[in-house]
Amino acid sequence: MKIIKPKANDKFTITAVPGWPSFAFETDAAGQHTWNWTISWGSFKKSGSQTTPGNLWDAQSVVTNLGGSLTVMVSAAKQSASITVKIYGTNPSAADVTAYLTTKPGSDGFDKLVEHESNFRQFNASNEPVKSFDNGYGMCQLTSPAPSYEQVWNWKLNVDGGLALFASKRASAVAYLSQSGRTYTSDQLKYETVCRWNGGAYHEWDAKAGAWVRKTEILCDPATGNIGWNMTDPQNKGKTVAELHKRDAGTYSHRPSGAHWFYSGVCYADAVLG
Amino acid sequence: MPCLVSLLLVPAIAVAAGSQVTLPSGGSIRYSSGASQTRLEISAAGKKLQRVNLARDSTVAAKSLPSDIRIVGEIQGKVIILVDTYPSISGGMSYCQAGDEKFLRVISIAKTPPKETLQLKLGSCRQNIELADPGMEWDSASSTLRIHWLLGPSQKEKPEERTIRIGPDGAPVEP
Repeated sequence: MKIIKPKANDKFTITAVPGWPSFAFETDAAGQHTWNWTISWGSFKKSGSQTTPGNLWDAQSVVTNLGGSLTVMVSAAKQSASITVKIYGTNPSAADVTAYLTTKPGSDGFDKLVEHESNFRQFNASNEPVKSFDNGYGMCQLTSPAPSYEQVWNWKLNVDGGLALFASKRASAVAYLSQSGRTYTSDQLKYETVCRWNGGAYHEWDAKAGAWVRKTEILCDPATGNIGWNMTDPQNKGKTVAELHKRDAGTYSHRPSGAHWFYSGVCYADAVLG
Repeated sequence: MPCLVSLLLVPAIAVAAGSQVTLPSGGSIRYSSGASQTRLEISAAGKKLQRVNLARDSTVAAKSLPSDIRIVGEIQGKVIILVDTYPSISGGMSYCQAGDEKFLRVISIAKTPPKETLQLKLGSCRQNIELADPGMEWDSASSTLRIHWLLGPSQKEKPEERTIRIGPDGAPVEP
């Protein structure tokens, strides 16, 4: 028994939509066939079995949302054969991701965040999912909760996973900004949410003005993504960004105890949203 | 007149400087970190050196030192109430990279070894827990803690309030 189609190590490509192609398998045997399949990538693995009345089978339905190495062992009339093929991904365009996010309520600001962090890339130069040093997978670098195999290969599911975390920060931002019956603008909600994603509150209440204002004491280092200084610290007071940067930049890679700079969600939101 | 101490709004009684914090009644607490625990060496006035290990949770890196320890209140020679803060473990896309995790501890020092009689999460970037304004008050006259969360630890993303009286043995009593 031989597998006629596809050839060993044939490459299949997921479209940017993302869409999974047809995976047409065919043998030279006749009669009922049992197709045992296993798909794996890294630590992710799924397997199953399907039976067809003849020698043709399309694996599309079983591998949709998945990628990596697909191994199929087919048996019919006490004969068997096996084959492995490869499935790779295609990155969506920035416009694809932004358009998808516009269909998601409460996502305001998340497009800028994803652009800032991963530049909308789900797949690396080898067309396999991006994996960070701390096992963050895909466009949203999902780590905890641990992503599913599907979230690793389907960028829309990956974005949905990131959005679930973003939604919890947005809910916190709403609770914070609306406390004591206070009002806020949609722009303030966006900055507050993105700030909280990185850590801490963006705004403070200005009782005199009766309005939320950006925390006034924080000065950001524009050369970094989220490093800032508390300007009420006597060691920072009266100094310029250039002076503070010159003093502290050498310690940015490893913050020493007693440093006079800190990671700031306020600076993060400013860097992401402009 | 009762002495009310409010956390986060009014400066706390004592702030950690480096790896040591001063107790308002005299003495000090030195702290270090290892194996997902914070180790306190308590030198309270008129007492021998005491040691206690405080557990953190999975939102804090195993080797993290507290970024801040504040003494909230004391029942002199019997109980220390403190808040220890740590950087959050960050997730993908800089999630909680600038966040922190804040624990309230009540530690009975009446006997050796000291015993942690209460642990509560006051704030957490990873778990969306946040104190309201005012966040926490310690009334030394009645030995009572009043905690007001904007986003509480028990009910997900909902306001929460707790009033806890601390007995002379450090045991928490809630009405």
